[in-house]
Amino acid sequence: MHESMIQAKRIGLEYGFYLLLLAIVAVFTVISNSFLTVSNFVQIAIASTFLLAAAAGLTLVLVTGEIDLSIGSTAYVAATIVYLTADAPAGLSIAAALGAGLAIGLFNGWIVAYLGMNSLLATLGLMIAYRGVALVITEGTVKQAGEGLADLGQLKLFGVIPLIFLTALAILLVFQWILRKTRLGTYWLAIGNNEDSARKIGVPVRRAKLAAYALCGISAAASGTLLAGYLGEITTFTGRGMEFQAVAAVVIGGTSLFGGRGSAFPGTLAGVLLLIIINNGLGTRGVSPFVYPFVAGALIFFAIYLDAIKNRARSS
Amino acid sequence: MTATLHMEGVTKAFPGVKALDCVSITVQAGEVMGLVGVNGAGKSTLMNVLGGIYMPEEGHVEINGRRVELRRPSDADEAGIAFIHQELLYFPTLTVAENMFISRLPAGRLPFTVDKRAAQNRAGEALGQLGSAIRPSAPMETLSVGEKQVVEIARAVAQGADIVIFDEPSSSLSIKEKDALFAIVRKLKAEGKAIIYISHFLDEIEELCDSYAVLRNGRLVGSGSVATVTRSQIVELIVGQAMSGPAARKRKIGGAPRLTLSGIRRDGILHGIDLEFKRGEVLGLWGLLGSGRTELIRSILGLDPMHGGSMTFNDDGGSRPIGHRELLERTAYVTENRRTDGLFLDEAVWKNISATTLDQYAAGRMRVLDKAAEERTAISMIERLTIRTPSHRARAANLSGGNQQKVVFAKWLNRKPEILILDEPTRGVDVGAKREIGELVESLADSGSSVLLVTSEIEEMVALADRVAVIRDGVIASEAKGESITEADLMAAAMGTEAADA
Amino acid sequence: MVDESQFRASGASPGLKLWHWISANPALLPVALSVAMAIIFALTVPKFADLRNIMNIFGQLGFLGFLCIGMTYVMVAGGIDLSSYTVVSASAVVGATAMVATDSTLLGCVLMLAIGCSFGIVNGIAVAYLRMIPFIVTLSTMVVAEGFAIWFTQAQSVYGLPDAFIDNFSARILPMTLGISPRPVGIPVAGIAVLVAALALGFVLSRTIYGRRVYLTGANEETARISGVKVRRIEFSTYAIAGIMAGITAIVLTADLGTATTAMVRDVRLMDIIAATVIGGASLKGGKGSILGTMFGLLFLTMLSNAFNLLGVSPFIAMVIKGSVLVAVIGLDVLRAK
Repeated sequence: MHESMIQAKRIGLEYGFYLLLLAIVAVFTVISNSFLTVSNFVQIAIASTFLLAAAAGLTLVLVTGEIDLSIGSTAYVAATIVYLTADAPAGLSIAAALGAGLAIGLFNGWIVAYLGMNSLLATLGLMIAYRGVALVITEGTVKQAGEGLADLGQLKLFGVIPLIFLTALAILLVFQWILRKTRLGTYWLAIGNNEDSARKIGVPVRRAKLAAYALCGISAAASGTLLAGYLGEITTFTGRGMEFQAVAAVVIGGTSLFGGRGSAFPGTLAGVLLLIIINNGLGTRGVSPFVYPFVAGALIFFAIYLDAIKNRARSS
Repeated sequence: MTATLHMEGVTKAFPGVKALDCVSITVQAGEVMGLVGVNGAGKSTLMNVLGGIYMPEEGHVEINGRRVELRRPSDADEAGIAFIHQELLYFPTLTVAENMFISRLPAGRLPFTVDKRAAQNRAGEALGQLGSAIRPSAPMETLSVGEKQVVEIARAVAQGADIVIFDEPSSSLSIKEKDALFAIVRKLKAEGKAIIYISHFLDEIEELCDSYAVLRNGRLVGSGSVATVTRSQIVELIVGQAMSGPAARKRKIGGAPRLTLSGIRRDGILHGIDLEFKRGEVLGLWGLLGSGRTELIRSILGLDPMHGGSMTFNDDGGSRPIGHRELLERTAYVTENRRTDGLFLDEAVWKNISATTLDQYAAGRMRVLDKAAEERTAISMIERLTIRTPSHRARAANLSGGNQQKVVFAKWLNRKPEILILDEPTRGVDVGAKREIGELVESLADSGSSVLLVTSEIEEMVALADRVAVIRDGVIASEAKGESITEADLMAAAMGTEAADA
Repeated sequence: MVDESQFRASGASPGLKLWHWISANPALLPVALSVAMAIIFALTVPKFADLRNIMNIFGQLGFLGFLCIGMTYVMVAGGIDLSSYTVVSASAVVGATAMVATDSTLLGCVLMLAIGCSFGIVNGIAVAYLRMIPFIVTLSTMVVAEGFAIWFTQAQSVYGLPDAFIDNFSARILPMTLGISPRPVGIPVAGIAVLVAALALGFVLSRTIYGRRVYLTGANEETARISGVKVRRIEFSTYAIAGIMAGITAIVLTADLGTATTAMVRDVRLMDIIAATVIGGASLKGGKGSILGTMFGLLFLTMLSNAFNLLGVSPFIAMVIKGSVLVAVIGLDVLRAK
């Protein structure tokens, strides 16, 4: 193969998702009058907020080569804490909810990193258990969030930009900063590359993984808290199926399931936007909402196929 | 900083083998010592003593005249000893600088942060010292093998190593990269590092090293200045005079051909290999690591790609082309690494043994397995090959290396293979099991199997092979038959030098 | 040469010996758990040991049993299948729609099997031939299957199934009238069907050459390949089997519910399927597990749900307990590996 072809192929593999995102935006802009409007973009921003917050933390866990399927349930648990603290000031409520997420994250990290359990199965079990805990607290019914928090959830900067979206974006950017600029981030990437080598060379593998799970727990809790604030209430659907959507978004954004590679920004942001924009774009075009899962499924399939090809290309 | 390394009377025994027997060597600051010897001569054990992996029973290590205790790898680090391994340890997606300083990343101004600029500057400095233009910010995975090795060397330099050990560093490098490597070694030498350079290539030793040390059977059999010794003298030291005569017994060659390979190619690795497997013959395939020996086997069996060439099979019905799948089914393949692709470690011994011959035990339309028969066969194989195991139901993982290898053999013997391919059949196996495996190979050939033997152990090759093809850089460089197979010739042929002309 | 001394040395204490024996027979754990649970519940939970309740439990095995069998095949070969529970819905709505339209039970059933199998084939091709990660492949087919079911029915349930279909598959045979109970107690067909399937497919997995090859592929794919096992074909086949099992489940569940919906198997059930298989001795690394173990794992979980029901334990607390059980079992697996 010629050098230039290899180069073109590499660029295609690395930046394909961004090109795809641009192409999709362009197509929707052309075929739908209501797509490229400020109000629709605000809609997109709000719709992507909750997935964005959760996927940001999941990115870190995936980078270390592990997975956390309990994030949706963690979001729900955090939201129930918002309900339990509804009478307290909003700040306290938020802190308590994030604290719960941190505790859950630390527990997940402990059983994976220190007890050596398989992260896929263990967090699958915990996904059910945490959801059960949340349902016990809410008795399976809709509960109200505190008014202060509900007001915050509706706040729009300059009357346009939703505060909740900015919050999610800020979380994502902070995580990206940790991933790229700190010692911890370098350790995560090293562990994801080759856990054995990392251990041999003196990387504190277990502590680093614990930290990734802790941040993932906080990020999932933030997602639940944002949703509770936005809706002003806590529904039993909070975080339902979010783990699978988040895995899809993170992988579409180029983070490898084989570990050691990926980014929260722009990768995961692009992945989330891609999923949300397709949903939104199909909606504004008046396409049956039932088509969305198809498109999303096909997209995930395509993304992981690319990931597999990329991984094979690198290992050869 | 400079350092002089001295190892005094180092002795290390493993069950049944004396791996090192009172070995003393000295490497001065600014000296490059070439360490040579056949596989199993004790080179890696000696280096593992330096690396803090093995504690010697007797003897000690001195640096600048002071005794150092090397109990664990970190002790070696602190003593300023660095290893450049043949297989590099690195993180592909991290940058060169991150790879070099992963365990001691410089702190940035904000808490927890890394000063990437500083890391890159320091990496750049270390690389610059070696005369390399590799960008410290490049991801490791974008580098060539040679460049990765340079990074590894730069890491050692940046960590202040005074003693650098190169373990067969050139085996996977191109000629250009090799030149670059030599330049770096010379630079390190000029800076006063003490360097040990392990290689099978005597021309490299001649070109690069000031002194040499030869190990054989765990003993230092010769050392001195490279200037005062000829290549053939070194070869003699490596193989030992007593062993270089013709081997004791050779089978008569002349069986009919069973498999003919012609023009086998794999891009970048195999460049047109012609080879004939005969009935009842042990054909040796001799070559250094990376010469294409294992790759040839995997390509013809369809386990790796093959980009050209043809394979002809001869049976009673005459000769015909044969595909990968059928060849795989007619071949018993004892792989190089029994733990990764030779055994089912977590399965019982008897299931391992029957895995290749399940059809023999299957009956009826449902193809139900006769487990009792499987177990009986396994038990008789265990008896026949004297496999030491608590029971035929024990997990294969619980057996010793030699017995595991015998299980691999048992698995294939069951099938009465027409073609038997052995890749390093006695690696990690004790002396007793080695002899038994040797006898087994001969008896198989006697019963008509075509055996292809790949081994790094020269004595084994000379003792077992009826004919030896030497593979070098993906082509068959030469062939030797019967009594003309000598250790010295093989050594010389694989290294690309004629022992006689030195 | 069988070396007795090593054997003796390894079994120094009776406790250690017992531990070795237990580790060598992973199906013991679910059997023991089930027996213990049965005894405890029989003694403490009112109505648990009633024939009617026992038959209920037996019948309930039919709802997840087939999916568990499929999961066992996939996991023994070293994979995982997250899609089977939504494939059930996808198969059911198509088959049921055809049945309503044509009144042909046979056509409906064949369609359900075919759709289930097609999803299995897609999974199999992606994993075995395109070398994609099983977890994510089946995650995306899970999403697609669910989406397909919703799209196909426009999120409506399919009603008006032929009576013959419902009667045949949800029937109870050998009805017995007990005491004053007006409704007869019989043996549910679904339970019998899953029992037959478990015996047959358990036999195939544990006794036939195909089954052995499934184990060898999962135990070490590379060694199996060199030993002459067509590992890709084996991997592929296990997903196809799992797909067919989803099709059968669609038939059984549609008949039992009398309708086909877009969420025939709730997503928390996916955890039950995986938990039953893992409790039954399967490992994500492959090469381990058995139908016997899985079925007892399922029995254990089903009894647990049933007893919680009878005791009036909140389903939410039941979720907490079941999730914790799965985590505990995984923890046990870690210990076993050491």
